[in-house]
Amino acid sequence: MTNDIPAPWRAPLLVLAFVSLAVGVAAGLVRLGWNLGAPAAAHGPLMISSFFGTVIGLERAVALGRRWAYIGPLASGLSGLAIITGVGAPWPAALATVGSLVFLAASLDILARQKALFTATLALGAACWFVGTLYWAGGREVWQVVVWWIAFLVFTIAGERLELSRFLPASPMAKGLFAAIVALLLGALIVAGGSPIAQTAFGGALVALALWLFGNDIARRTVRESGLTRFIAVCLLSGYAWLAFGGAAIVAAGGVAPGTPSYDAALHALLLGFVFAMVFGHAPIIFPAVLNVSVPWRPIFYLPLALLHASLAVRIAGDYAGDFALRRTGGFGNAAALALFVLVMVGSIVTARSRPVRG
Amino acid sequence: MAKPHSLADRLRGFFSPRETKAAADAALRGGDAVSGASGPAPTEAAVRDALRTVLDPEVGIDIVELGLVYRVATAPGTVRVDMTMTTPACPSGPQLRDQAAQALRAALSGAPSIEVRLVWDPPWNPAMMSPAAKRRLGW
Repeated sequence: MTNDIPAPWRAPLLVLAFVSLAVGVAAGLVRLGWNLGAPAAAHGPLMISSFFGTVIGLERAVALGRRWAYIGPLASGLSGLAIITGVGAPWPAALATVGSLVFLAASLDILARQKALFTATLALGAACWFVGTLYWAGGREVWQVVVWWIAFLVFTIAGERLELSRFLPASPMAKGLFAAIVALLLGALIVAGGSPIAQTAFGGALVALALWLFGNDIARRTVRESGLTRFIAVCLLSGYAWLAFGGAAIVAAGGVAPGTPSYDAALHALLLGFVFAMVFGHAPIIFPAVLNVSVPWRPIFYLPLALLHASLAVRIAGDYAGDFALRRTGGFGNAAALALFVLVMVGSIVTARSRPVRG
Repeated sequence: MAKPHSLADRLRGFFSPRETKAAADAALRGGDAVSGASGPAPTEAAVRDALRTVLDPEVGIDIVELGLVYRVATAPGTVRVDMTMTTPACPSGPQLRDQAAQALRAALSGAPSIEVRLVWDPPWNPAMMSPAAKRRLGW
């Protein structure tokens, strides 16, 4: 039906993404004082472009079923490899830019196939990744472009959740409110560079989005189901709490200023608490879709999720208390949660192979 | 021995979609078909019942109740199903299609030729859900 690539050929792209995740997390730990030899300055680009960009780009390429779309995750995955192997400028940023541009093209292709608010929101997320990465390639610091990268992930997740909210009774008002929140986020984003007022508005819009998601996401119903369906809902709802917290932290601080306690707290509430909770919830669906493997649900899936949330709470308490040791402990717990998550996923795949589970 | 493809041919093949209906049907037959003894045609109800074992993991409701199964055609030795996803942005389409084909193979002994196609026309909308699914989702 398509000129898609076979599932086994996608595996190297996922390996690239997870190598970037491992080194990106190690780089984060270096910032917290662990001497792991990872490039501390590359923590953000490795996590955002080389991991999230590659995984989400791969997911979109599978949805599209077109070979050219895989150039996106290939390029963003190679940007991580370029960072890790010490290949100098301009390669890491140039590859990430190519990856984000192909991802934008894939997202626009999907928008052309289905013109809807949710596909437009997905395309907007892709555009934000591209713009942020373009600024980074142009020499801006990570802290100057990080709001664009946050918007990439927020719009991507929000678009997907809006799509699934169609399973619930339609509410034109809810759809209008969603569009207004997206417009506020976008407006704030465009003038956010260096403007604390715009950054504060961005934080306020994130809180509004979290409230919208709490009220309209199908998770508020599916949390009453069981097994994987309930697990996904728990991931989503707990992630929305961190989305609200991250937005509120930006509002309370009056912006996103690097080097402040609220900077670490807001960014990690959003990118760890919110985004990784989504990743944890959807990995058991996305791994099978991408790799054609079975990832049967197990109750142990809750363990990395609980560790993620608990360790993030410790880290953020350390941020606001000015207690570096506490922040460091929380950060180590964050890394352990991600490692545990990978182990649990791999364990589920391996045991499914040895003990077939009904699909 | 067939002549190996040139690099240019391979690149052309990589970048250009080869999505003719005949090719798609042939690929589907190659991928999903199970040949075997042809007996009486399975009933549509039997086919739909088999497809009810395929759940959307996010919603916890089966693909029939969600209105994702558009068409079931049966004939002696053949079952053909057209199904959709809620959006082409969903990466789970090929996987759910394969699960649907597996469910049919498992349920319809006598192993007719089974084809499950992903189609996008008409686009799915919530009105396609069954009354039971809607009730479960708070409609």
